[in-house]
Order: sequence, then structure tokens, then C-alpha cells
Amino acid sequence: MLSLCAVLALASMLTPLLVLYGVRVGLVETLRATLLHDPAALIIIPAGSGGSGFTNELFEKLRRRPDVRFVTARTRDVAAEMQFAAKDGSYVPLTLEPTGPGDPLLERFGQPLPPVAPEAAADAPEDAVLSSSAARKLSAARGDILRGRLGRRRPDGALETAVFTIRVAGVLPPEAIPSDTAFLPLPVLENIQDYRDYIAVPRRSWDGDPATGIKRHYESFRLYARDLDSVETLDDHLRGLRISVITKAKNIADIRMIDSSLTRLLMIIALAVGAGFVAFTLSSSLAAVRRKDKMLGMLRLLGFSRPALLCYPLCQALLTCAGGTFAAWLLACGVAVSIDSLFAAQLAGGAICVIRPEHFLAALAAGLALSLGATLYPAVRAAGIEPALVIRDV
Amino acid sequence: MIFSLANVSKYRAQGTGYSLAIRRLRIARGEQIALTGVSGSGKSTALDILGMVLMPDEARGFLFAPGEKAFDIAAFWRKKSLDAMAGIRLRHIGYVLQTGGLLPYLTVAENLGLTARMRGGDKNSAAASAASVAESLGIARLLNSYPSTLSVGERQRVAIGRALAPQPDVVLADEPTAALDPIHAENVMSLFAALVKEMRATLIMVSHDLSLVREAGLRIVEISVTSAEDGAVLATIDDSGHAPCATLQS
Repeated sequence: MLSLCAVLALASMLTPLLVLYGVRVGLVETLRATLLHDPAALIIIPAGSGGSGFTNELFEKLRRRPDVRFVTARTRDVAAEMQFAAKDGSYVPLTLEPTGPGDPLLERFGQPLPPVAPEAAADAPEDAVLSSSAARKLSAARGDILRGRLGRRRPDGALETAVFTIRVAGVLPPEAIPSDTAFLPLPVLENIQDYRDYIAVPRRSWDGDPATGIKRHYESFRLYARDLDSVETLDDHLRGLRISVITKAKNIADIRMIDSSLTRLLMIIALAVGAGFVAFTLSSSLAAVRRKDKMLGMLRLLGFSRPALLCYPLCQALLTCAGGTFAAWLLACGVAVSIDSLFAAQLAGGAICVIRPEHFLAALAAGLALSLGATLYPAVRAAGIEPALVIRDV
Repeated sequence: MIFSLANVSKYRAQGTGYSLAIRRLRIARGEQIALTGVSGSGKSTALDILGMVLMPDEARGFLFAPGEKAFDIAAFWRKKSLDAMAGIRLRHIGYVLQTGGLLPYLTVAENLGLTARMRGGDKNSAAASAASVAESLGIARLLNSYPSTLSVGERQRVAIGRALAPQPDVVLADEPTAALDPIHAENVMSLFAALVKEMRATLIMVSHDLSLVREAGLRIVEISVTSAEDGAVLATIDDSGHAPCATLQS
């Protein structure tokens, strides 16, 4: 009976600790997972304008880095917008965003651009992926052909318009990007930029001044890091190149801080619980040895050796600890399930309290080590009992 | 001689002071003796010294020879070889206390088999020995009971059974029948002495009841008590006058 009480007392100490630990693991992992599944968390874009501009050499170098998942140059603002005709004849301005093979934003939502056909006709529609709001405003669906109106002012001041058509290759869900955006391959946007700059684009039979052959400079880029940790290394790397960037490193650092604060908090609570556990184990096994001193003396009289008697409190404490930890684990798992079902609506599949078998094993190992330490003195007392002093009134 | 003691003493400072001096005590194998003396004469102290659970303050000679080999118990105490002495108790000595001393969470059968289990010998022969002892003591029907459900008399028989079941060379008993009513006590005592004799074991019993032990045929070794000038109790065992005649060496 007393042993069962000890097991339950132990479980009552350990359960809140396990639950708390589970919350820490669950919370941090859920936050990390949310960030990881959100390509926006891994995005790195330059702050402000590019100054002297970014060249293709820079992008090639960046692409070779293992911590870079994807990078595309962005054309200048002159190629950042175009109007497209909706079904009702009105025109909707869309932001144009360059993309390329392996763009995580499009891949994440399963809407990658089909590869560009090399021998396409000059006036063949270009494949584009639309944001949800752009598709809604244009009443466009996958496979639709949309007419765009590309205007420019000629050097002589006259306005002119070129026809530019796109085929909707995919529509992103609303959570991907909030703005009215069309994603097009970078070379297409370069054509548009050239058209607006009155540079000839022979492929599309757009006239203008001949291309100068000067290396193209870009004002911006869109880069995705391989993972959360790469965001920080890339941030450092780019700052080293005197490119100041905007990242979600702050959010990531916030999660790290939550993680480390919770860990520290947990350590302090664990220390308090550990101290209580040691005091509890020490006092209960000392009491057990005192209570049973006559029996222990009797065993000694019968010829039990000191090591055998030493084992008695040790085994009892270790068994109590194992039982208590197991009971605490069962209880904590139950609590974890109810916590998660309580927050199920907000979590969308994530878990706020995660208790794994290895947490149980860690708690068990720590508990066993502590009980072993706490029971040494009572065990030595048990082994040192002198039968002649205790057996007389058994 | 299974026990040979010469000038073994124990002092205690409590109260007015007490000392027990065993000048000479030689007990032959198979002998049955009763240590008697007035209350407070140190009968239990003497028994504990013989049982190797109480350290003598002085021991000129203390040999224990249950077989061919003699153990120098005086040397064991000097070296504090407590576990060596525990091992000797386990293999050679059975102990019966005034009351109980049974383990409450073990059944009668498990209590009877405890020593055999600790020795780690053949389980079947240990069980057979326990069963035959239980039969002789009339406790066979109690084998599956727990001590708390037994009467004092039954418990005492189980305690005797536990000492005898492992077939020890020596049985030490501390007033084994003191808690029983006199008629019952006589029965248990004679049964006990007869069983020990049957096993050819040596019996050393502490008793204040001279007639009871005489009845059972035990040789009496008296602890004589004198008072010193300061009031200290001086207890002495001197068995030099006795030349053992009936030895049962096999």
C-alpha cells in the first residue's frame, strides 16, 4: 500500500513536468513547422534599391551555394505592371513577378510553370501563374488565354501599345500571396522591360533601338534559403557583400528565443522537482528502513549479507521511481491529448503538447539516477543494522 | 567441539554497568544445553555472542567448528568480516527468537524456505525438508497462510520450523516458548528438543525456566551473577568443570 502511495506521489510530481516539457516541444515544433512550410519564412530580398545593380554573375554564385534553394533576378519597376483584359472587357492591372524553374512559392502550392518551349511562335501566349485574387478579378481559370495591353511612350512622345497574351498555367491559393500578381519567366519580363525601354526585341517583332550588348543589371532579386538556419548564414553572407537584405531572421530568432526561454524555465522547474524528488525519496526510504529495521535485522540474523540488505532500499526506490515515471507518462499523454483537442481548431494538424517515448526514457533515466543517489544513505543504514540491537522484540 | 570459547567478554556502560565474562565454554557437537540465569544476567547477550551478531569487546579464543574446519570467530571480529559471519550463520546456524521474527509478507512455506533460497541449493530437497519439518511440528496445514493470520503458538512453531528446515548444525534459541502457556510450552519444548536431536544438531537455548529445560533433557549452563562494589553487574560463565561425555560426532 505504502509503495503504491509512493508511486502515485511521484507521478503527481512528474506529470506536470512532463506536460510542460511536452508543451515546450510541441509549441516550438509547431511554430518551426509553420515557418518551414511557409516559403515566405525563407525568403530573402534586398532592402531598398540595388544601387549599382545585381549581375547574373552574382546570381550564378548564389545558386552554387548549398544554403540557397532558389534565386531569381527581378526586373526593374518599368516591367512591374501590365493590364489584362477581364471577360467583361474591363482592364485589371497585375503586378508582374519573375519566376523560374524550382521556384518554391509555386512548387509549394503545386503550380509550377511549364518549361518554356524554345521554338514558340512570336505571338504565342506565355505561360503564367496567377495569384488567387488576380484570377478572381479576371474571372480566369487554368487554361484561359488572357490578353494583355503593353503600353510605352516612344522617344518621339507618342503612346503605342503591343499585344501580349498569356495562358493561365495555374492559379495559386489565396494563402500563397495576397496581391494581384502574375508570375512569368524572367526572360519574358526582360522582353517587357526592353520594350518599355524602347529596345528592340526581335523575337517578338517589337521594334526599338538595337540592344547595346551591355551586361544586364537587375535592381532586385528574390531568394529562398534552403532552411531556417540558412536564412541567418545567407543574411550574414549578403551583408558581407554589402547587400542589405530583408529576411524573416527576426521571426526565426523569436522562435529560438521562445525555445531557449522555455528550456531555461523548464530547467528551473525541473531542478525544483528534482530537489523535491530527492527529498521525497530520501525521506520515504529512510522511513521504510526505520519501519522495517527489525525485519532487516532478522534477515541479517538469518545470514543475509550486507550487499543483499543494501539492495533492499535501492530496489524499492528504483521500482517506485520506474512505476511513478510510467504512471506520470501515461497521465501526461492523456493530458497532452486533451490539450491538443482543446486547441485543435487553432492548430490545423499541429500539436501543442508532444510527449514522445524518448522523453519518458529521459525522465526515467534522470529519475533512476536521482533515486539511486537519494537512497544510498538509507541503503547504507539498512546494511549497517545490527541484529543484536533490533531483534529482541520483533 | 563445535564451540570453544575462552575469555570472551562484553561490557556495557548503561545504568550501573554490566559485564559478561565467558571464562570457558566448550560445547560438543550434538550437545543440547540451556543457558540459564536470573533476569538481567545476560543470557541473550551470551546467545548473541555465540550467534556472531554481537561483537565481544575481548576474545582470547572463539572457535566455531561445525565440520572438519574450524572458523576463528575472534579473528573475524577483529577484521570486521561481518559478511563472512553472515555466511556462516546462513550455512550452519538456525535461530529461534522469543516471538515471531517471521517475515510478514511471506507465507509460512516461503518463510520456511527462505534460508534454503538464500543458500541457493537444490529446490526440491529444500522443499521436501521444509515439508517434513512442517509435518513434524504440526503446521503443514498452515503452509499457505501469512504469519499475521496465525496464533502466537502457531507462529512460534513456524519460527522453530524456519530454523530447522535448512538442517543447520547449530540451533540457537532465545526463550522459544516464553510466550506460550505453560502446558503448550512443554509440548513445544520437548518436540523442539527431539527434532534437533533427530537432526543430530547442537542445541543452545536460553531459558529462565529450569524445570522446563530439565524436562526436555538439556544440560544446564548457569550464568552466575555477582555485584561489584560500585553496583555493576558481573556475569560469568565458567563451564570448566564440565567434561563433555555425550558427544554425537558423526
